[in-house]
Amino acid sequence: MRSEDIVSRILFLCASFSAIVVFLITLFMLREGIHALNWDFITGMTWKPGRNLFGIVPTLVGTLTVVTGAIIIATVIGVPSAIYLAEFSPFWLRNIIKSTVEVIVGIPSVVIGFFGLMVLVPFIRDNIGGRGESILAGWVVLAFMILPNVITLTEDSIRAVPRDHKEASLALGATRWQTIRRVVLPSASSGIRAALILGVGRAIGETMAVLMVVGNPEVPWIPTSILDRVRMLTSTLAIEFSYVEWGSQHQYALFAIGVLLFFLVTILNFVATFVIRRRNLK
Amino acid sequence: MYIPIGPRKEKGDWMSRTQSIATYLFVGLLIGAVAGYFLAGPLSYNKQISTLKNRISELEGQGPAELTGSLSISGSTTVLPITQECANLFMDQHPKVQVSVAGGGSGHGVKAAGSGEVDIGEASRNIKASELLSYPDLVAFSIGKDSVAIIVNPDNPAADTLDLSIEEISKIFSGEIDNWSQLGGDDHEIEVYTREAGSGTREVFETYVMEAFDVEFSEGAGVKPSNGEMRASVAGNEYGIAYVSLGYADNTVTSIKVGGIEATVENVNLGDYPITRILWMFTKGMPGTLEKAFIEFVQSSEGQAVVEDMGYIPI
Repeated sequence: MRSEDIVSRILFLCASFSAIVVFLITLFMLREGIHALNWDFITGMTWKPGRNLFGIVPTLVGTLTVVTGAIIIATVIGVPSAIYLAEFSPFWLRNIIKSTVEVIVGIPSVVIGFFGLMVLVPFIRDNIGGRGESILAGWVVLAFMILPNVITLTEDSIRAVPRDHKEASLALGATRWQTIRRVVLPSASSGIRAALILGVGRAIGETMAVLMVVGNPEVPWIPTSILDRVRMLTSTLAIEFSYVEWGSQHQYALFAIGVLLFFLVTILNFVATFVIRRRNLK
Repeated sequence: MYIPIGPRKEKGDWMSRTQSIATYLFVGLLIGAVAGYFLAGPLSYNKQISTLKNRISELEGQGPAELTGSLSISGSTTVLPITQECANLFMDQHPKVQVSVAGGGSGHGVKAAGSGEVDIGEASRNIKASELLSYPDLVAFSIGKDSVAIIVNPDNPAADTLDLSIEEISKIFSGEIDNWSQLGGDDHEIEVYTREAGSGTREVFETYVMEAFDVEFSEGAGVKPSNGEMRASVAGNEYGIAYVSLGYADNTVTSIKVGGIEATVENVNLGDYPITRILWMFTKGMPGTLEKAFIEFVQSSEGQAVVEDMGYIPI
């Protein structure tokens, strides 16, 4: 019994360590960012550190535009892929496709960004127009990065639909497609939604790859076309942090961006947890 | 009714597993502690030996007295990488010296050195007259040079013939001239890239080009976080234009002539190329032994090699 106590204490220490670190990080960011978290920051339209103007609106709009588009693309491609993998594909093919898709997770994001910058951006510039660095490029790169999450989680939740539900539907004379549409997808829907929300969380926090393809204008504006260039919250942080003067309003504003990001991702995670829990209660 | 008869055995398995995990952890910690003890022993012993050796050589009066003390340096972020690297080398040579290096910008460097807040201040621009009035005791030492080249894509039809005045460059980067046809090139938008606010390279460019004509960067200028990305962007964009620290202008891009002068190290050394700056270190009054030793180290061939490695021009 004593040894069990010791083990459980050690395990407790390990578990509380990560919780404490998260707590300390939050506290630190809030302490630094609180100086800049004011009305001008939240409603300001101009980001010009040289003029002490720190308005986050265009950057926030840019971030949400890029993330929303990416999640739509990832859904349009990812959910049908997952349905195919779970319901139609032969076992061997499913293994090949799934393990290939999972390789994407392992590609460092800077490599994907580099590919985007060298291949995607010139392609858009030459064939569609604009400068190439654009919202569109951000959509494609981000959608590609969250695709594995969407496919894997969606497929898992489709597979989790009890076999007897499907068999009952088929026994009643429904076709395979009718079964999928009326029985399988509705029961898997909360899992699919959770997959998409987690995808959004990942997309908002993604830095390197989007930083390289969205263009980052000197003074961001509210985009009017998908070929416009935007700034992301994360890319503003990554670009400006290395040179920021410590203790300046600029530094506080960057921390405030960190707080904002943290806040967005936390909310999304809570929503995802809630959605998943509701599925389990059903 | 089925009554499982396994639990006792299963529980026994679980118990023994827990115990063995605990044992492994304990043994692991023990081995770690013992190894730590044996490793720490010789290390502190070595330190004692070297302290004794130093003391002996000091008592015997061999060689110059070892430098001791601490040195605080702050200022320009452009000079920061040079100072950081030099400080590391300097501390290797003089283990009893502690050098702490911080950024803060050129303005901060001048102010901090002038007010005695730090031992050595740094700036990547010349000292201003107003600063000299506030801090008349400042003594300046040049430790290197830097220059900024304006680069375009080699495939741009205008690339080889471009020869711009500073005023024209300021108009391009502020967006007043926004089409290559205005410069004798294709009828296409000029795509301007700039560095992030606070960057040293941007600071020089602003001082020499933008502030000289009282203009700001065009809002649509694409921000790139490093010299390398500035170069890559222009190398991949026929209609791009950017500015980089001279060391980054290689053959993937074309540096344009400014006022008829090509951007080369020779022209910078001759003082012909207009966008040039000297990197400075300041002390308040004549430097003390330690400050003098460090500045001389940076100016020595070893320190100048660091300057060159970091992409700047040695003096």
